[in-house]
Amino acid sequence: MGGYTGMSNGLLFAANASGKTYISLYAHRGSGSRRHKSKWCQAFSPPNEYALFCVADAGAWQDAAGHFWAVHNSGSTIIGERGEILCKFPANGNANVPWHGYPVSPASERDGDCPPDDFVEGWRESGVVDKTLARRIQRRKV
Amino acid sequence: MRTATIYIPGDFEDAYLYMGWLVVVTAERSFRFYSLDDIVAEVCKLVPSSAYIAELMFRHNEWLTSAQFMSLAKTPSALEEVVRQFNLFPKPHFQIPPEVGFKEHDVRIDTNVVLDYFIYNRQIYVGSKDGLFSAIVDWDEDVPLLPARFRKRFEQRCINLTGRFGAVAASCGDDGLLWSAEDAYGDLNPENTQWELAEDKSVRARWLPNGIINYKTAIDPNLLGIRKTRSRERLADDQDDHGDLIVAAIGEERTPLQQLLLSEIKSHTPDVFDADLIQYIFNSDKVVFIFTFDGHFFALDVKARKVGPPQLRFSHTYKGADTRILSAAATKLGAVLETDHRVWHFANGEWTPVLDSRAISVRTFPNAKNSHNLISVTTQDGVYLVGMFDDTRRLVTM
Repeated sequence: MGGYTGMSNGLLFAANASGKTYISLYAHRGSGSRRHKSKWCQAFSPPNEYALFCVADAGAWQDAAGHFWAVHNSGSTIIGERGEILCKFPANGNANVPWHGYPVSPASERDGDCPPDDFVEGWRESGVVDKTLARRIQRRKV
Repeated sequence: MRTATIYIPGDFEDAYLYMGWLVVVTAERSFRFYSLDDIVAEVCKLVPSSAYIAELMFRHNEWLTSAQFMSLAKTPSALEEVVRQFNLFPKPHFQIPPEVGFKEHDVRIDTNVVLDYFIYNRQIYVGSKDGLFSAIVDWDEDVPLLPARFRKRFEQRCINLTGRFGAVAASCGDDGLLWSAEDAYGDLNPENTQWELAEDKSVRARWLPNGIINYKTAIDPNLLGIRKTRSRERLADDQDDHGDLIVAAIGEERTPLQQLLLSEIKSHTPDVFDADLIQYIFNSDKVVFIFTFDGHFFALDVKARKVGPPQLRFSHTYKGADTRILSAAATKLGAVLETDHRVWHFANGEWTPVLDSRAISVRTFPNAKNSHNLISVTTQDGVYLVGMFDDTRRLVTM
């Protein structure tokens, strides 16, 4: 895991265990068109980003709309440059297009930046996040 | 700042103070009612040396900010005695033993995700992903009586609740800020309440004496004017506020605040302030606070007028908490701020840790009769009830 190819818009990772390719977009890394784009923090490298996508994929952390969501270390690791601990891999219906992702903050109230309440409840019940973090996500505090 | 803390271990969701009761919501969503009188009696029984502070903090907390007490506290020997008494209170907290009685009500609320609890107008309100629910509680009995089932009031996802001047305001995200003052009256018919839309988007709202600030996002506040009328009944809450005036209209006048706030700050601190870095804004009755991602913290005095834009006056720049603000609440003695890993109190430029733990819920009761300076913090380990005393005698009322 972790081998990638440089593309014009990001770093393309090889297909994972379920056959999904992934691209770490420069736009979410501090270059390219960054307007309104949230960014991964420097310490959370593109291979980390890809690994987290694979964890979300393997764990089926996917909501009814097809988006994958993820936290690292149960949400104790900051992954975004503005303190975000949650990320989203938006639904991708085209197998030929690589997946991508970015940190999100439900508190920002940007459209689509918060996983559905029931999805978070499922995370809490299965121990992906604890009750405190589940409530903080559902209440748009983080 | 001195604190005295009472701790109730358990698996809880939230805790609220109302009419001399500590109302604790359990993980199973039952409601437990602890009498503050019983809690104080238990402290007095087990730690007699703490009786004075227990009484002052948890039964008659309003005494602390009374004119008489403030006057007394100007005498150094009197203040020293209060501080000495504080030092006798168990640290870090007094743990309520299991034998302290409580009454627990199992109730039915038709939702699996609760987003906010609120007690006002003698009712318990529950904001949830499936809408707003409420139950009328009989507080006049020896132990409060709850119906077996909460009534659904409306369908919209309700993320935050607040109430004042007889009105309940419900923040419902993209469904807006809904409000009603009908719940203030005894002849309420919950099935037919009219909920009016004050603004089209809301994540929370906080009152001013002459208005309400609606937050369309965490950093986009609008001041909505409120019009009041004489209540046809004595209000259950808010008697100390402005007599028995009740809200008749919200939002007839609307002032976007973000640009006004930014201009005022920029005119005083042009080198420090970057509007793109605002992380969180909140207000108390008199002050608007703005926190930034780069650790700055600005305070502006705000005064809503009956007509026209509010008076805004830059007050202070402070060093922030070096972490994100997740929620904020006002007390009579400053602001209480929830961050990722702890809860802080802030007043007079000083940060004081209230609890070194991640909170599920942090509540203050600045307009409650006997709980001005109390904070309830619910964590995964239990509920902490924290009483505060300003021993610096540099009281700021907020």
